[in-house]
Amino acid sequence: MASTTETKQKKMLILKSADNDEFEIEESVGVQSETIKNLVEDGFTFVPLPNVYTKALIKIIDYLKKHANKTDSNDEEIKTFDKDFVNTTFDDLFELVSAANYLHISCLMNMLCQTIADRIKDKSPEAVRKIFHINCDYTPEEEAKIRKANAQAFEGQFDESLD
Amino acid sequence: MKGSDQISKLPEPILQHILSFLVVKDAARTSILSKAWNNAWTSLSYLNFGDKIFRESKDIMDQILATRQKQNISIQNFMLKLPNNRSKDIDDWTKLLVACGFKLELPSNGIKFSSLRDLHLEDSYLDEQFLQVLRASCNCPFDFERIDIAIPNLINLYISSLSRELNVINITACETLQYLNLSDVAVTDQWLQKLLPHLPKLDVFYASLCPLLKTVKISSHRLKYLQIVLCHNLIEVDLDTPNLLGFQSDVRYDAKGFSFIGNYLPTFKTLIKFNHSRAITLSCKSDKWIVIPKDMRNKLISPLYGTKLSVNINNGLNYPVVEVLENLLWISPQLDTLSFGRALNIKTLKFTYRDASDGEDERRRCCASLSWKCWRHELKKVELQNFTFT
Repeated sequence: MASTTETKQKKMLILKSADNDEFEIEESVGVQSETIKNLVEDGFTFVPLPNVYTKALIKIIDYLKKHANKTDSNDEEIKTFDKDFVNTTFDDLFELVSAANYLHISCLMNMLCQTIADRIKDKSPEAVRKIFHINCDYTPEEEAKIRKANAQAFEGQFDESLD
Repeated sequence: MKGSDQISKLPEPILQHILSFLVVKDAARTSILSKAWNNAWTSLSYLNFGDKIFRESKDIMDQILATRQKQNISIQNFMLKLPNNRSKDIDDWTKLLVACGFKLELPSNGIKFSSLRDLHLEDSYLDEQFLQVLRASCNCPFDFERIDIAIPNLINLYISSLSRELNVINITACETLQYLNLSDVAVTDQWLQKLLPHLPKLDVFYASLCPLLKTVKISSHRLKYLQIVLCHNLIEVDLDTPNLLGFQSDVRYDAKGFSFIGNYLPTFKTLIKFNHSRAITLSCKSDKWIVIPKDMRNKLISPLYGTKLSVNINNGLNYPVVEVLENLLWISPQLDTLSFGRALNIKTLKFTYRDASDGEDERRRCCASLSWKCWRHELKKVELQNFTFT
């Protein structure tokens, strides 16, 4: 294997996704995840991740690799990468946010949650429901009660757009 | 699956993490979305009331805190803008907040900040009780008349708005400090000069409104960013900081003839040290410092020939714009922008120079022997904004 020499120099980890795909990454890249870090500290080099599917794991490894090589000079590059990273469908975002939560990668978690929160900010509840396809499971009476309990939150004008 | 409600299936802690990025009003409104969201909201322990000051949000806050107190939820994070005066409302609210798990006032509970790395005290009421708590919580001895800061792991220190008389701050044993910001603190030249050699890791130093600073001398191979503003008695900044990446200061004119940039910013000698910085922006009130006698210019070399310079002059010009430009282009043959004038009537000149894509200039240059290219041959375009022509 061509990478043997490199493997000898750098400690490597194998991550196994919920779909049983295996990925080899450098330990220094992996330990940005608190979950992986704890396992590595306990001596594991093979890390099964039963809650993370391949599709999300590939993206997250990309993210970790990019952020592991953070220097003073590639700040802009990482910003652009992050911007592209969150520019995806909601279903992908939710998949990623679950994975980031499980893996305890706080900077990624913050970025994803911020991205989702930005779509809620200043919006009317009707717009938020449409944007995220949220099923309202209240009866009309229950809904009126909640609205009354938080009356001040509903005062004023809100953004009705679906952007 | 398109169109299905995936977001409400996220576990509550994740929904709450999302809500933590919203101000209370936005977060509270999500309660109406569905039951899952209402549950996430009613037990949210991260409350940011945004920029509205306390008085306006008092009723809603009372209610929100009461709901959480009933559920025994500890508040993790709390942000609220307070009015400047203390009132009974705030005392009541503080009690409620303590009941919701804010334990800073309970020294017996012994929350330890032994790994404290970041301490911001801004407009703080440092009463005896608070200092006791702080003394017990982190290993830093505090005294109201003399503040000794000795925190071996401290990285970031911001001291603001201490009473002007209170000039006795001691920063010792803070070898790891990387970021120091002093605002409205009466520190002296001697104090600073004594302190700086003890901060070998200092990358960033900001000083503002420090009225006792007169001559600031800094010698550091580490320092990357420096900002000294609104220190009204400052006469001179003397820098030996070869790795400085950014420097901001307000420039004032000194009537003592040729001190290149008068009162404040670099003397001529210092300015040369900034040559080959990537870019420098100078903001000043008057154009007086810019104009240098012609015979002086002929004798000396441009101090900033390797650096892109931007200049903002906050008032109108005292000299004809041509004269100011002539001087600026001497100071830096790569002048980037010059803007001057007041608020609504700022005039700007933006300069574009030939670059590699324009090919070599085959004409004979007057500056062929110089190590930099003179603007007379390199200037490609000048954009004017806000000029009226008659």
